[in-house]
Amino acid sequence: MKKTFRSHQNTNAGRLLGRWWMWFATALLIVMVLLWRSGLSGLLWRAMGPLMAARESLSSSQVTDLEAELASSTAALADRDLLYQENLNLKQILGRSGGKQIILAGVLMRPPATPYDTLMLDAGSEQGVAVGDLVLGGGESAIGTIAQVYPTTARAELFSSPGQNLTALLTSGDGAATPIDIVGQGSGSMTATVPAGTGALVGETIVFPGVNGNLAAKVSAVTAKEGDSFETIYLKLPTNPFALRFVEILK
Amino acid sequence: MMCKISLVLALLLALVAILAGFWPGAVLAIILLVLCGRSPWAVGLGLFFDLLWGPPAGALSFVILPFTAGVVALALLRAALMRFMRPRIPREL
Repeated sequence: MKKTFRSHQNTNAGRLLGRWWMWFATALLIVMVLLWRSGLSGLLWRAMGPLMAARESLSSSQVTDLEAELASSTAALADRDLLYQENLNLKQILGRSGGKQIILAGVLMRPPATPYDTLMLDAGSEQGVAVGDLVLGGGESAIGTIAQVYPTTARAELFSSPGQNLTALLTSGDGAATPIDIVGQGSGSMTATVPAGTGALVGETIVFPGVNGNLAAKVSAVTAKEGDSFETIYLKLPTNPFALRFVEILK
Repeated sequence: MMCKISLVLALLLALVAILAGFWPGAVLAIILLVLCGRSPWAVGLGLFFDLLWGPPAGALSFVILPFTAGVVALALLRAALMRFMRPRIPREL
């Protein structure tokens, strides 16, 4: 009887020790990943990159090809008017060159395959991509920035990522530019609050300050409550980022 | 029975999440593993997805490993609930 009790006690102690060891090993694994996150992500994407590229080429049908072409054309069309206006303005500022270097990258993964409104691109530090580079969805339409860079891949965060904040200019037809703070809402949508007298209209463009002034969004709706001193404007990225197959990375 | 095949089911869900391009599948796989008491596997899967997809943007960017943090929180909640419920189950059962 005593022997059985002792053997039960030993088994329980062994099980408890095993459980503690398991949790210690798990905690150690988490700490190791936290310490070498970037390197490990790079290694993982080096292995996963070709697999994702193969998946992308297998899943691309005629419909998806046409969707991608339509997304590029929409972006090109969206910024045409803006480019014309910008061209006129730039002619007055002779001597300032835009000096751009562009890297073409294929989209390996896009929402809903990736969370947080991010794109995985097949160009990385080996191709000259750096954190903070602007991602263009075709033409002059900026859709996000590079958030993380690995040797052969990079992660782009869209401006519409939930909680993403950026400052841009709301340009109206008469050439006036109002600075606004944009907040990402996810799925290619953003919002901003402007004073009621701003007179924002659907279809107006949001650009970045600076000589290059890339198109960042278009106003899709404006809501204002009666008597409120502010109105909310709803914005959409100039192109559908979830149908793009290629993007340009602006250095 | 469900918990016995949970590991296979979770790994299949994770595979679908990656290959079919549907990230909520990964969340379902992780929740399934934690609920069936396979937390170390869930942590492993969470770390894998965190390395694959990186941290979130915006206000939640300080959560460097969101999937793993979710697994740990869920595992602790499950452990607390189990401790709370265990004495209420009659021994005869």
